[in-house]
Amino acid sequence: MDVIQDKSLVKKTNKLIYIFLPIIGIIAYLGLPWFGLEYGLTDSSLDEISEGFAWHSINIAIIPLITCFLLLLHPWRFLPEIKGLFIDVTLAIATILFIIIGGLILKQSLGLGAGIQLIVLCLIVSSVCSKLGFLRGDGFLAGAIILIVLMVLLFIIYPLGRIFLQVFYARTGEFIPFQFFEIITSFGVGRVLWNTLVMAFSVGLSTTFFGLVFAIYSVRSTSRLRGLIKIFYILPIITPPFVVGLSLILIFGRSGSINDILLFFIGPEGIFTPAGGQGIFERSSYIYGFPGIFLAQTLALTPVSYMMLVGMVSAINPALEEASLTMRATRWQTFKKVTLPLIRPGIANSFLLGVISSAADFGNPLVLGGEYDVLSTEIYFSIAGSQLDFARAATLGSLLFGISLFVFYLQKKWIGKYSYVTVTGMQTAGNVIPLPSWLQKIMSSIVVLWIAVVGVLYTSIFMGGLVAKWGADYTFTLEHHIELWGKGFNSGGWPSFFNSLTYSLIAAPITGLTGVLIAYVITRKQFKGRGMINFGTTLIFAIPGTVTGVAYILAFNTAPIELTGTALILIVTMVIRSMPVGIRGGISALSQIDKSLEEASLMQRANSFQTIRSVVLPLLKPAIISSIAYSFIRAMTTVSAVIFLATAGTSVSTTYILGRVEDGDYGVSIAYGSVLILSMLFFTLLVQKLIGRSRTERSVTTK
Amino acid sequence: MTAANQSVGVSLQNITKKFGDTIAVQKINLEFAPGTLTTVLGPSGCGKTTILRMIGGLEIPTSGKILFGDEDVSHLSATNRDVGMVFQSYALFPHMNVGQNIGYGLKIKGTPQEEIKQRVRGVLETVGLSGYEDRYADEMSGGQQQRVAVARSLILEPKVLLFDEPLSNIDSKLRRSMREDIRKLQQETGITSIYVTHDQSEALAVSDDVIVMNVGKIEQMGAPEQLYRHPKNAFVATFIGDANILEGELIQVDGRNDIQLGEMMITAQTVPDNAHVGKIKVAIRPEVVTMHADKGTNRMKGKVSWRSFVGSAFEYTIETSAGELFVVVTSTGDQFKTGDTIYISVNNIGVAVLEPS
Repeated sequence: MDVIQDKSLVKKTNKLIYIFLPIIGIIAYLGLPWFGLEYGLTDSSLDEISEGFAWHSINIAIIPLITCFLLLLHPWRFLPEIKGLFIDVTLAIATILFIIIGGLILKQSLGLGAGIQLIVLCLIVSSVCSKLGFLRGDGFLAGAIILIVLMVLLFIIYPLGRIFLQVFYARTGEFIPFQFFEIITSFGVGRVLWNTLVMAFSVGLSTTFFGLVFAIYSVRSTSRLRGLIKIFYILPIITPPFVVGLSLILIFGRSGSINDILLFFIGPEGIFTPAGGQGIFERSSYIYGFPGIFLAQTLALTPVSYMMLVGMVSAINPALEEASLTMRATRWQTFKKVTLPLIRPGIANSFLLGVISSAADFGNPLVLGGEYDVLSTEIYFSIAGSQLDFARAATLGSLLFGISLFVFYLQKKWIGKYSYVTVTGMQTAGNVIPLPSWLQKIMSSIVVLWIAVVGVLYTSIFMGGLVAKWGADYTFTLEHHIELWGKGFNSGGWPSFFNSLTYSLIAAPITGLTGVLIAYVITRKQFKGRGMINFGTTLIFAIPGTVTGVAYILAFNTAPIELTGTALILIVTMVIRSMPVGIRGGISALSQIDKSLEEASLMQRANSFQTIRSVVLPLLKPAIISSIAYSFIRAMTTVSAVIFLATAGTSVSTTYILGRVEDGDYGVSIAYGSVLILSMLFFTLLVQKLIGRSRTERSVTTK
Repeated sequence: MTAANQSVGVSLQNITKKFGDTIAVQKINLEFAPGTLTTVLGPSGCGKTTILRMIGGLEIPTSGKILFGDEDVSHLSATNRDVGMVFQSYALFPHMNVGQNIGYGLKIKGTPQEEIKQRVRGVLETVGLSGYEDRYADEMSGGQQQRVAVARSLILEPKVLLFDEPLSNIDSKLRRSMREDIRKLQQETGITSIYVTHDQSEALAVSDDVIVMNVGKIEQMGAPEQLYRHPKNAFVATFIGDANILEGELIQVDGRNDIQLGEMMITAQTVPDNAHVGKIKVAIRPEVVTMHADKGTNRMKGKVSWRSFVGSAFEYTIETSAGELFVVVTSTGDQFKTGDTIYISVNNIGVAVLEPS
């Protein structure tokens, strides 16, 4: 094995391994609580914190301390270099395993001090590996990769493993391999499974259909209406998922406006009803169950489908359709035989994404489900309330995850790595072909209807917070908002709002930057373990939020890593849940940067770290800002995972709102929801101004 | 511009590169003499860029060794290899101006600011762009950008300089002057340079040596004129310049190498060692064929089937008993029309006997 000979690099790495890192390890032992604190660093009393320090007694924390001292002294420095490096690496890895396994066996949870030491040891391992030739001496990348692998193992693979384990173990700890089958065949599960699948399939179809209509319309139609579609970009992102469901209740619910209107016209005492007649309409709860969930999910998820398809539609090379027209095809024939097949991968992709999103959706079924149970709500009810049946939650979670994974697999298989249609560097001339006019008219009416419905819903969201009791008493009042915001910063909505803001502000930059780093490592470098990182991070896409929530409870409720009840676990959840988006964004941004720019930098004697810092990051700035902003908004509006993990002390906006909904306080919930939407809207517009729009879009000039 | 470091030779020993199951380059052995400019020439996909990138440290060979002088650099990354590279796309950092682009490497090394400024000025003067320090890439033409790219590679005084199709994105009119500039610069600095291109006239014009590659293997190596006059096989003959590949019969009489081509007898200056009497293939350059109106002696009869005027010359396609011939005649010479019956003679200097396959 060849050892890297560049002298200045060797000196720097040596200082790192044998001086800098061990000292940090020792400081962590002395200055931070090594053992985990039950209430986290911020909530514990000074006594509790001091109990967490390891130097009170002889305990397992002695071992890493000894390792750090050994590295500082480096008594084996006189051995041949390679032998010495092997000793380093073996020592470090042994210590890491010792800490983790020791914590597991002794049921000691690890605290901040131990965590820092673990990171230090990992960095030592990676530096030694890079000296031994891993990644050809690139210490920075080696360290980054090891930390990423650690993150994937710890926060993705380990929790998933725990969930699967729980399927086969009873609460008391016995191994019951057939528990899985018992639960699956137990009463109700079949029905729940069927409901979930039917809903997912239907929503997949509807979102793809409408998404396609809007995408084509916004790019190809000549009507001025298409400008209105721009709101699609913003709406789904800034709306907490279940708020749409809430507004549907307001409009279509038992005491909702539509019912009122219909009653008014054709009810038992309606103005169109002949006297003495029964009228053809009665108050009912028709919105609960399948219709409500279907409507809510379609409304919420279509914009995502739109965004996916509009990119494809606008990137179609017009020359292809122009060629078709010159061969005497009509506009409709061209549309059917040239345009649609070109977007077929996007259509399939959008369908599958709709299916996964619907199956994973938690908020809407919770609010609107009625008797229509789906897997995500069943999982929630297994744990919330008095049941606490983790085995059932784990089993149902595995089912849901299995469905998601299967659809995901289909996506990879059918569509694979299709390149985005004809986006070349060449700017081809030619206007985009407009639609056949009858098609445009039909689409226009769909668009108008849709926008009207959305408009009514969002109006109700804002008005709902300002009336005393929607459906009964429409007097204008500020009492909901006063209850939320007017009673001091420690009560009402403020604590949860501040928590949401804080956690999201911490999580977002981590997601944005880590996402770019992972994207860089995946796309630009070849190394062992790349496949694992790629797989692990893509897996997150397939894990529904509820499954993550349950998995994290199971994984992090016991030693050696206890994080439940702390803010940290919420932040970690937010980071992980948004990671795939950050990575995808990073990959797409990196693909815009010619590889030769980085190679030129390497040729100028810069290493990877310097290249990323001086060349890649400055060019990626807009993409990174965009990614951080998006992650922030996602973190602010996430619900399905955090519902399991938020406690009274760490409640966030979404869990607070859901709590109030469960109490029946629709007015307050809607009021809070409207404030959340407004603040997200403001934030999004701010960021959009900073970045501007992308340059590969192409659309018809309005006549 | 100070003289370069002791220029080194580059040596590739048994280099193979596989991408998955595809073999891009197969057991290549090459020597690049110090101080020379060698071009690796070939069609797309022949492996020339792969070889260049392996020398630069951007790709790792699947097997084999690369040496700079006596030093085995195979395991060194691009960062540590002391090589400069000029890219086809120039690869100028768009967010930095010319001065910062060129000074980037010195800044990484920690050179003091004043010295950076001074050396940047010097190297800009060498490439003829004095005073351009504050410009940005999108404010300059392709030719200027390429010169900045060259300056950026030179300033670190590398041991080896690599050129990856540097003129492909430059207007064809500008290419000739730019390639002359590159050649002059290389000769002044004496840096061992390796140049990759698919443009054969460019290769012939700038190089001390040319290596012709095809599908991962080396077809022929040699000085430009050597390759042009004595191509070994049909690929090299038709890739470098144009050639008419015809079948004739080799008759060796009195130590001379005569070839019967249709009704005509021509003489080759040399023949490959493994040529044998009997049927052989010859390559005849289009510019050594003379067309005559009268029969004369030892001329082959032909009929003009097509004629094109390309400004400086006439291009003729002629049907003969030995096959179809492509002939180029300067436009100031005799002119013939399509359909004319003519008689052709050949200047031996443009005749090469190809190795039997």
